[in-house]
Amino acid sequence: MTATAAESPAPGAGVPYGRGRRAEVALARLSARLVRRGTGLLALTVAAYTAVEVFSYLGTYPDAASRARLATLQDNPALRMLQGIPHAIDTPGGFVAWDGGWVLVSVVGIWALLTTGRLLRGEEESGRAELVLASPLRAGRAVLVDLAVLACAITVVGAAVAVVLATAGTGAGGSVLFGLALAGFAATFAGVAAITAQAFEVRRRATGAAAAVFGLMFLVRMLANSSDSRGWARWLTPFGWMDELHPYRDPRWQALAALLAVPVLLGAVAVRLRRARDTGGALLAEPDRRTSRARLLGGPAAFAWRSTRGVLIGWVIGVAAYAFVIGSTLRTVTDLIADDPAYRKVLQALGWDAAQATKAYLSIMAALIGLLLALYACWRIGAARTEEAAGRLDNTLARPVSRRRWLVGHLLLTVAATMLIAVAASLALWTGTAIGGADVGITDTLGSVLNTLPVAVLLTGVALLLYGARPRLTVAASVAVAVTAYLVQLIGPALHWPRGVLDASPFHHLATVPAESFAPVSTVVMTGIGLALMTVGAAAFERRDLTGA
Amino acid sequence: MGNAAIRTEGLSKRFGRVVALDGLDLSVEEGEIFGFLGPNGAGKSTTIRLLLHLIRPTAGSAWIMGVPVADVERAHGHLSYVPGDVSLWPQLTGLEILTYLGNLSGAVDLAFRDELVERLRLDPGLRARSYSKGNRQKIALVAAFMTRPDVLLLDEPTAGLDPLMEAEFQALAREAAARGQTVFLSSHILDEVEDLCHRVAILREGRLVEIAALADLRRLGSTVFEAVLDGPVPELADLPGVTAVEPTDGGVRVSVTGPPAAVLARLADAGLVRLRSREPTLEEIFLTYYEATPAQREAVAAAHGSRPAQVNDGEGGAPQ
Repeated sequence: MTATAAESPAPGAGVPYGRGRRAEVALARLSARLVRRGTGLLALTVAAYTAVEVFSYLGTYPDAASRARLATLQDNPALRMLQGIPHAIDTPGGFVAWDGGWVLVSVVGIWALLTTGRLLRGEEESGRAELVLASPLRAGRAVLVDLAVLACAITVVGAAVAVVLATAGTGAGGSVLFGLALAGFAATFAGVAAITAQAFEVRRRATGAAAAVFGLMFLVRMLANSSDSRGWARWLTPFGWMDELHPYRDPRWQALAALLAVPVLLGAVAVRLRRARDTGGALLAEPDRRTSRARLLGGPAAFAWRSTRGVLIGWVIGVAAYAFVIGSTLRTVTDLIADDPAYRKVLQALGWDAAQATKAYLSIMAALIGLLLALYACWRIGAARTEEAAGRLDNTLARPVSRRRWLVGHLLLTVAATMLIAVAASLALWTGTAIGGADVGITDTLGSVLNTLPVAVLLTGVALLLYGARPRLTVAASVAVAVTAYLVQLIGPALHWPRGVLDASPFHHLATVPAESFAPVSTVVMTGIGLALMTVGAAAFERRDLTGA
Repeated sequence: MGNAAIRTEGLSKRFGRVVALDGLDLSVEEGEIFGFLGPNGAGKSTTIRLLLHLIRPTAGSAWIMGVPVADVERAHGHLSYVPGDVSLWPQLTGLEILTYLGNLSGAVDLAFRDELVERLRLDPGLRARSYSKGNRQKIALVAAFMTRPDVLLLDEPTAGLDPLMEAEFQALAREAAARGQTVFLSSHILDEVEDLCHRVAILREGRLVEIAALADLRRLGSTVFEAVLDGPVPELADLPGVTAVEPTDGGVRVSVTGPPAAVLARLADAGLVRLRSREPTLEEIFLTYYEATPAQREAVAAAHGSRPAQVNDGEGGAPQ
């Protein structure tokens, strides 16, 4: 043909596809690019958190005597359920693995399942995966490559924790063991998400299902640790494997083997399942044709409610199940506290009797429900952002609908849905206490949970402010604020952190309802700040350009 | 006529340091089908999104049917929009999406909506996630036309449609204009623009470079001479009015703006065997506005060279 055509190389020349696994390398590079920023941030965060844990321990428990006192925590059932069974907590490493381990595994595990859902289903849902699969690369192999990239990312995070622990002098062997187990734990949930990504057509469903498995595994661990007779159930859950590991004294190699073998197994299943389905399809595919339903299509608020119902039901079930378990074990826990002479002395010093101790414990557990409510609110504002990022909001706002009307609809929905979860959690908590025989009334459980709502209002304000000013950070930054605020109140007071730091956490200002009476001033202040942030955020949203992902 | 359906004054938009739109002054009359052309990244979609107030202008103002675009509740009561890249709610069926968007707009003539669905051969019973690009486009078109708005803002509405549906779209646009609706059509498909539009605006790098009726554009454009020569091709590029010179088999193709006397004289001296003149094709006109490089011009010419219409049309060409 023309001269230009003669000069250009023949098709395929110089590009030895099929040799040297170039397509695999290219995909690995692409996926690595997609996860590297999140991985780096997470590695820094967990490393910093681990360092704080170690130095707080060394500062608070400098000598053998103070560490021996710490050993009395060994038998605290509440801590056993939430954090696991303490082991070797007279060593800095053992303490961190127990006191901070459950936070680390939860954060890294949830990150792993979200990232896996994004790589293995999100890329496919958006159609981008087809560009990759047009290269000489089989679908099953592509999953394998992505899983390898995820394994590397998870290893980096585990290594960051191990390096900090080892550098802080907790012992190299235990540190490596703990870092490896943390990575194995995260990889297990990456494997679960890799399988749900094959099962469901949309990413939201796939990660939702993986998160449900995560929650279920946590509940199994709580039950397993609630009494020694149920200890065998620890082997049914990755949380239990972490409890059994004992990295810093007499490690159990079976636990490590489970944490390393199960992810490989799950990954292999995911690859196998990927081969059994079409690209874009799913094992549990819903039919494309269905009867149209005109309900809840009347306006933006009704439509948002329609779109969010499914996920809301998931949250209600998850939070209520957690509340039920807390409630049903309340009596056992408080009985044990009351029997402990050391605790009784502490209670007497506070002027409390056993009933008040029960209520104080209820309040502490309700604070975690408060965190979940705040996280839901952040996620819910993020759902509004997703609507914008996906370009669907253009359809709505090109109609005679003002931005304010649309946003207020989402805001009211957020408030109503958060309330609904709170009430459902209160009822589940009360049902649990009634079955477990604890002496608390429904007003106590309602009070303890609803007391935390100002924090959710405040965090909704933070999320909305971010949505108005820095929309791409809506969920990531507001969730980070919520979790940090909770951890500050959880760790800070025991470690005598400066007052200024503690005061910065909204959780610090919550009264211990129902043991104490409700604190109206802090409630009004937090709600007021939340509403102010919402107003500023909404105004910023009305003034800015709509932006894509 | 007389009332501007769409009006902009000094409309400008910057994204950081990039100037996406620079001082656009535009007025589109009611009942007009207005073509909005320009290369990729010229600022066409930016203009439409500014008219919708989805993005905020850095400077300038715009009105839809005399209503400032910032007053979206009133302004959007007059308009509909087909985005360049249609995103739908993947879990909803086509019918549910049309119902929702119809409810947002208020009154929808359901019989007319169903007629549109029929004419565009859309299956509204499927979930949106199973729709192809063309089908998503059809949903957006039905949603836009079904409210019979005063102004239709269409951003490359036929991308992804098959030729049959493209023809149906053109019929819909003509019917709308006949009813007095205004159609603002951003497009790359010059045939479509040529068939539909009364006037066109050409945008390049965020600036309006021309706004004129199609017939005027042709008149303003150069004349193309195709000469067969009995001898070597003389130097022509130095002559006044010559905008392009391309060698052909046994001769030369030369585009001239203004009086061609000097070119004709030199060609006659070079042993002219045969001469044909014609009006430039729309592609040729646009390429001068788009400031294509000679290589790009050649590529376009090669791509269209096989189409007999353009070669045989010539011979003084009766203006359409």
